[in-house]
Amino acid sequence: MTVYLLRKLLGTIPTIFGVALIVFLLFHVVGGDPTYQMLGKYATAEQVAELRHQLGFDQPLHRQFVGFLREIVTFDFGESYATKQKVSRMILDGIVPSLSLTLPAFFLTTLIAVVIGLLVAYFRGRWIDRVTVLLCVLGMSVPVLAYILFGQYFLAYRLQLFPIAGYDPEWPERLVYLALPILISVMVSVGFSVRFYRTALIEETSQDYVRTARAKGLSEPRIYLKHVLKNSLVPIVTNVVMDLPLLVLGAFLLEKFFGIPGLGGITINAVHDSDFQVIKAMTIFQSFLFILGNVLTDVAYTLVDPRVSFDGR
Amino acid sequence: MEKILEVKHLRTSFFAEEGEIKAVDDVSFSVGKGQTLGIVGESGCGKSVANLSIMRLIPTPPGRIMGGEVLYKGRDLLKLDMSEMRHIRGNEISMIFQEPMTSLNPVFTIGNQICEAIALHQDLPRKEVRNKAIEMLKLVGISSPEKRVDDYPHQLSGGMRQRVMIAMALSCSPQVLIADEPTTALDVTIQAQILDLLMELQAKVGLGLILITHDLGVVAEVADEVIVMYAGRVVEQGPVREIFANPKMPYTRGLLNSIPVLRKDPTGRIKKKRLETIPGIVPNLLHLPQGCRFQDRCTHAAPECRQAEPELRAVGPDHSIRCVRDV
Repeated sequence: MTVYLLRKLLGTIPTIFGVALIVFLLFHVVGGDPTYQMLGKYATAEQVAELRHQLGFDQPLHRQFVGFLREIVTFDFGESYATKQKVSRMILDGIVPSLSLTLPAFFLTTLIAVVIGLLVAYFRGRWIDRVTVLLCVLGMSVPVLAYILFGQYFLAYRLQLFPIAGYDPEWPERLVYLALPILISVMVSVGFSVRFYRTALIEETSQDYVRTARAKGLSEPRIYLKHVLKNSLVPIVTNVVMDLPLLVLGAFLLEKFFGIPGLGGITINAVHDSDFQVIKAMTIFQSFLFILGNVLTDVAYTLVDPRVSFDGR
Repeated sequence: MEKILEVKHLRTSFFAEEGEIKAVDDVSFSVGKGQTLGIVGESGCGKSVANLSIMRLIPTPPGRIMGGEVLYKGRDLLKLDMSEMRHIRGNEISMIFQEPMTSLNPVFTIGNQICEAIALHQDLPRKEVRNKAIEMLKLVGISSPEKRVDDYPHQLSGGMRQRVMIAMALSCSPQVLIADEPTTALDVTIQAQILDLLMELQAKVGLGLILITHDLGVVAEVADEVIVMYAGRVVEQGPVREIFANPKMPYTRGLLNSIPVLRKDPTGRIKKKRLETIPGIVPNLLHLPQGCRFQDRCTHAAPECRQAEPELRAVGPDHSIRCVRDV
């Protein structure tokens, strides 16, 4: 397993390199010159030239690329153009607020979706199943912005059930501020998840081993909770583990609207301010997390499916 | 012969958009203690559905048992509530299936799956349950069962898996075993082993065995009684010798003629006889012809066959056919 993981991680190096190259080309060749953006439209040619020299944009492209690779390896992306903070510091500071929002939301969503998925898989084709699927589609069709506006206006402003926006690093105050965004996050994603798990579970219930389990005399709850669920864990785990690292990135709109100082909000602000260093760092960071998700998924398979193992038994 | 399981006038239908499909239409048969009943017929003749109906394993919807009785020790299984039925399944009546590769749950060890059945129906301490599972694996001829018990299904061959299924099915000493094409998916040599095993175990525990197959060779080998099914109906039934020596229904004859034969001619060379087939295909159960269901494929069809569907009639002791012609 260690050998496998090492090989897998080594194998990601070319991927990272490729991602770095594409990101570099997008920003430096296609993306245009950020100095104009930073200096405004009344900048003189000398000012532009000076800033370009400061930021190293006057060097040949291959030198700039090597510099970029160095930034990646050392996880030191210099300063943000907009806030003048160290980019790596900004990222590290943003992770905890982001996770405070996304982790509980994700686990609540998964838990609710699996439970509802099991129920509707059991009652498939009956009215309870049809109504649930209809509600899921409705829930999926409402844009997140609508949930945010509705939540902030009615639940927070009118009914005063939650604070309208804000963040407090202290517990349990943090939870008070995060409750509404978490609720909205669950509302937005639970429909999709229920449908995903429903499909995965229903596919399992038509397998031959389910018939065997019934022929043995097992009760339906036992069949669903033991036999069907364990087999459905393969698609479920793929879904969950793949998404897990990306939770670090936070939720763009929710963080922005609720003033949560997480990575999602930071990224949105960076895009708004053309803060290239931050966007570049976030893009690379996200690729890392994605690759991490893939490796973790492979590992998770071996835990839930005895047919998959690293030592090739 | 003491009847242990009696199926009377069983009717099972599936409901599709086009209408009701009568997969099993007024079928009756029975099996006695220590006796083997062979059920033969082409794919889709209702033989599997009839037996899934006994276990009440018909997926509902779209299927439904429309009527009839399944008497086990005098009780009608179709009238039991689900918890009583679960007590019957795997405990009194067991079933093994055609697909050994997929019938076991891939993510649990075979020991876990056998133990599950034992623990469910028998009040034994944990350790005993496991010992019993190992004992069952030994009984079905799996070598080093103490080690194999912790294997996952994918570590076993098809024949081994079918043995595991048999071990599981017999672990609670059922009175009746329904084997739905247990050897169809296996190699010929493994087929023989599995059949021998079934016969041996049957003799040992006095099991009533229902063997569903489309392989007449298998039936000739192991069955005491045979019923032949066609398009949801029993078309011929009788003792195995009678059926093979003296088949009366043209369909049964057709089936028997479709067995490939190799003969040696006087010079000792192997002579191949051209394989006979039954022309045509099984009728669509949604659009059955008026009269005999086999008429379109029957070489002996006469005008009277198109009038009304024939009833089962006796043509010998314990031998009856659903055919009006004497051919």
